[in-house]
Amino acid sequence: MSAARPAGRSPASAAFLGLALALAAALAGGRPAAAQAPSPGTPDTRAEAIARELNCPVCQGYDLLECPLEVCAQMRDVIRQRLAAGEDPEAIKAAFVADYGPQVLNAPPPRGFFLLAWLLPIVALAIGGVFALTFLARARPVGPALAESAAPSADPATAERLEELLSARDDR
Amino acid sequence: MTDLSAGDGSAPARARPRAGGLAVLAALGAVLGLLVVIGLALRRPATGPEIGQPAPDFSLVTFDGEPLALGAQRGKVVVVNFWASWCQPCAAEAADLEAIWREFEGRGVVFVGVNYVDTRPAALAYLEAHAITYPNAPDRGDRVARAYRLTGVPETVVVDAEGRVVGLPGPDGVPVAKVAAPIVAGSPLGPDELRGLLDRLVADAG
Repeated sequence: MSAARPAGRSPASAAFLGLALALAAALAGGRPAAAQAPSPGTPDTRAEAIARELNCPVCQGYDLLECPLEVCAQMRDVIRQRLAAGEDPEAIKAAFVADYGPQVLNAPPPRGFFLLAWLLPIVALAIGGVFALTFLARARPVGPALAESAAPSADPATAERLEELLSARDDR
Repeated sequence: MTDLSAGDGSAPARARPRAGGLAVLAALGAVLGLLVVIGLALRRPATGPEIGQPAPDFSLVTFDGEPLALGAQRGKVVVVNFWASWCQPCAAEAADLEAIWREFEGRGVVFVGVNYVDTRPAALAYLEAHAITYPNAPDRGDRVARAYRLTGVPETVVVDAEGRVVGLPGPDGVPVAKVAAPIVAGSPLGPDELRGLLDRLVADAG
């Protein structure tokens, strides 16, 4: 039974590992796409990449790139002008935060209170994983343990007697 | 022999639920602690401006680079007007606001324009286009808008000489702490109503 346990636990941990890897891949896949764009490219694509990382400060759920408001068009112009003046994308974003508040950023900056937004999903996943593993490790031995303990309790004599009684009942 | 094996088996079985209970308690504690942290971080003034209550204070820097603090205007009646260059109703009230400001300028009345979500070039072009001469400042970081629970532009708040929010005529005849409509003829607070109100407030202050 003790030999069966590590073998029994491995599918669960493999599943958890698979899930964690898939999640890590998804996270890693998402980030370079956003980080890559600003460095090379024409001024317009660089401005678009920055606009995509900012929110419209007036309407909910629009990023600065797709927002049809006039003020957002003006803000995109400001990004282009600042890029043309040789400003760094991070400095431009910082200036927008100073002007319009931290809610102008699409993703919260990984600092201070906002760090919670980045760390909590990972912590929640880890806690959930530990709970899932504990549950699976505890649930697995029940099946084989019952089968093993139930089988020897019926000695051949009792089994025979049982069989007799059952068939007698069936005949009736 | 059966006793021994039973004793061996039940000891870890009894210890495990206790460890599980501790883990659940720890998880609950962590969740509660987190809620407290989030609650504290999100704590902010529960109300915006309220009639008869001190107006939320702010200090801004005007487009000309001059400091502009509401608290420094004590003893004067202050008209705080939120606007944006992209806002058409704001443009509709701009000429009247400037005209009323010029009428009351020397009588202990201050006009403050707070520029909401805008770009500096567009805001400066708007001020020039409407020939606005009273102090105007960008609401950097959206702080004043949040303190006043802005729901849009234009919005106007009037503060008396003691720094308290003045009740303004509302749409249903019920006084409101801020008017969320342009100050144009036909509105509950039109240009003439604002003139009458400022006359009364100046008289009260004097």
